[in-house]
Amino acid sequence: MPSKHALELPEILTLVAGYLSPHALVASTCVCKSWHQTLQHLVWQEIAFANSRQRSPDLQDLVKYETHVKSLRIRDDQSYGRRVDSETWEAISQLTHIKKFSIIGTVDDDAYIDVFWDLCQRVEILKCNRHLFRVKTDLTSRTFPHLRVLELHHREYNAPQLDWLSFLKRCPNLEALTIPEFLENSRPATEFLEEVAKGTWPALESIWECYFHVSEDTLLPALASMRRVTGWIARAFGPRSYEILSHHFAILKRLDLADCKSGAIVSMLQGIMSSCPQLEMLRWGRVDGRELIRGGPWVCTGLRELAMTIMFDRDEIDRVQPLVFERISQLKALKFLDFSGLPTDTEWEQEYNEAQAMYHDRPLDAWYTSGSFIPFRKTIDLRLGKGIEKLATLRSLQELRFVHTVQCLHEKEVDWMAKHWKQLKTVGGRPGRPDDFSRLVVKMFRARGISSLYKQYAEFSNIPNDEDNYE
Amino acid sequence: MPVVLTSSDSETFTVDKEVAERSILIKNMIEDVGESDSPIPLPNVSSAVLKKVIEFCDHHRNDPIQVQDETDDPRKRSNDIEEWDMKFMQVDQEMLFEIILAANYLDIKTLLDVGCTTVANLIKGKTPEEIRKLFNIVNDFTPEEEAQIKKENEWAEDR
Repeated sequence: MPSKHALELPEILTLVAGYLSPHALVASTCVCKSWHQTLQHLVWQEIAFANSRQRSPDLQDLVKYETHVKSLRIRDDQSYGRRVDSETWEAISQLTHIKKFSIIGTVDDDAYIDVFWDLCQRVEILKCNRHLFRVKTDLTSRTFPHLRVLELHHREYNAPQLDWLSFLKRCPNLEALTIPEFLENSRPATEFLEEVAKGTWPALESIWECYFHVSEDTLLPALASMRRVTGWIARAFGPRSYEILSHHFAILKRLDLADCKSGAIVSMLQGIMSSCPQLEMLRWGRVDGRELIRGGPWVCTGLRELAMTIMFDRDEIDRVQPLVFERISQLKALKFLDFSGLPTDTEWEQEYNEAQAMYHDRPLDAWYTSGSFIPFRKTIDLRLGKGIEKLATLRSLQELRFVHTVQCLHEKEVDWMAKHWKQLKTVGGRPGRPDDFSRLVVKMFRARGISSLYKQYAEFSNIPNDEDNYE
Repeated sequence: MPVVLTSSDSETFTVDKEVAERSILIKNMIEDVGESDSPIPLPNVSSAVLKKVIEFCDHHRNDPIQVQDETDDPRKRSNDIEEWDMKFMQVDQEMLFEIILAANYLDIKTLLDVGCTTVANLIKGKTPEEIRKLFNIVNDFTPEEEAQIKKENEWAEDR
C-alpha cells in the first residue's frame, strides 16, 4: 500500500470536494497551497448574479479567474430586486471559457445585447427564461456552432421577437432542444419538423417539452430522420412511432407521452419499462394497475422521474396496488414521482362529489370503507396498510404528487413519509377532504419540513379555491 | 465460480465472482483473461484493507450498478450514508484513506463515494486551521496569502 496520504492525490481531493458544502469548500481552499491549487477552480466554476441575498464575486477577481468560470447564471429582473449593471456586463463579457449560460429576465439595453449574443456564441448550453428579447436582434452575422443544448421558456408575446426557426437554423450542432411555447400552433411546428426531417440538425437527439399539436404522420419523418433519439415527446404515438423509437431503446433517456389521447397503449409501456436501461424520465398518461404488473422485469432502474395516472378497479385495488408499488419500489433512483390524475378526467371529481354528497359531515374514512357504492375506478391510495410501505426503498424521493386523486392522509402517513423519504421536500395534491382537514395535514407536512403545492393546483381544477390562507 | 485474489502481502482471498466484480478493475481483468483458476494479484492492496473491501462488496453484492449521473451537480448530492456504511467506515484515519485509495485503484464507485462522503463529513464546519490539524497538513501560506484567498473566495460560502 502506498504510504501517500489519499488527500495528496488531486483526483481524490476533488472527489471529496464534490461532497463539501460551499462553506467547507471555501475553507478547504485556504488549507495549503496544493489544496488551493486543486480546489480553486471548483469555487469559481459556477458564478451567479442571481438575487440580492446571494453574494457575488468581486468583478476584478472574476476577470482574474475567468478561465475557471464554466457556468454563469444571471437573474436580471427588476422584480427580483436586482439589475445587472454595466460594470458587471463588462466583466461578464470577458468570460472566455464559459460552457453554460442561463439567464432569467430581460436584456433590454442595446448596449449589452451584443455581450449577450457573444456569450451565447461561446456556450454549449443555453437556458433562457422570461421575456428576454425586448431588444431587436439581428443575427445575420452570427452562428452558434458550440450550442448543443438549448432551453427557451416563457417568451414575451408582445416583444419584438426573434424568428425562432431562423435562430435554430444558426445552431447547426444542436443536440437537445426544449422550447415549451415555441410550437404552440401547428404551422411553425410543422415547419420545424420538416427541418428536422431534412437533417438540418444532424446531431439532434432530444426534443423535449415541445407540445406539437400535429398528427403522427407529421411527426414520423422527423422521428425517423434522427440518428439517435434520447428524448421524445408526442401527443400522437402509434405502433409506427413505437417501432422507430424501439431502435433507440438502449439510449433513450426521456419520454413524454402523457398527453397522448390515443395510440400509446399499455403493451408499449411494458416494452419501454423492460427495454430502456438508460431511461431517466418517463411521463405517461392513464394506465390500468393490472397491466402495470404484467410484462417483463423493469430494467429502467436509473429512472429519476416517473409520472403516470394509475387506475384500479375499486374491488381490486387492495390486491393490485401493493403489487404495483412492489414494482415501483425497485426504481430506487426516483426523485420525482407523480401519480396525479388527468385534469381532463372527470372521474376523480365525480368520485369526490359523490363522496361529499353522501358523507359531507362524516370522516372520509367512512367513505373509503363503505365498499363499492361508487361505480367508478379509483386512483392511487396512499394510506398505510394499502401497500405504500413497499415504497420505503425510494430513499432519494424529493417530490410526490397526487393531484386530482382522492386521498385520506393522516398524521401516521405524514410521519411515515418523513421518516422513510428523508429527501422529500414537496408534496403536491390534496391530502384529504374536507378542506379544513386537508389544511391540518398540510400543516403536519410543513412541521416536518415538507412543503405543499396544494394551492397551485386549485386554480387548475374545479375544486373551490379556498386554500389561500395556508399556502 | 469463485475468484481468488492475492493481496500485496501475499494473502489469498476466495470470493464469489459477483462480489469480486463490484470492482470494475477485477471485472475487466476477468473478462480479458477469461475463465481461469489462477489468482488475481492486487499489488496495491494490503490484506487488512482487502479484507475490508471484500466485506463492503459482499454487503452490497445485490445493489444495482450505479449509473453515472452527469446532469446532477455533485455538490448537490446528499451526504447521507446508509447506517451500515457509516458503521463500516468507523475506522482510523489511516485505514479510511487506504480504503479510499483501494476503492480508487479497484474502481469501486460506491465504496469510493462512501469514503469521500465520510471525509467530507469530517471537514464539515471546520476552519482551515482545524482541517490542517485534523489531517496533519502543514500550512505553507504566508498569513497575507491566506487572507487574500479568503477575501477572494468568501462570496462563495453561502451560495
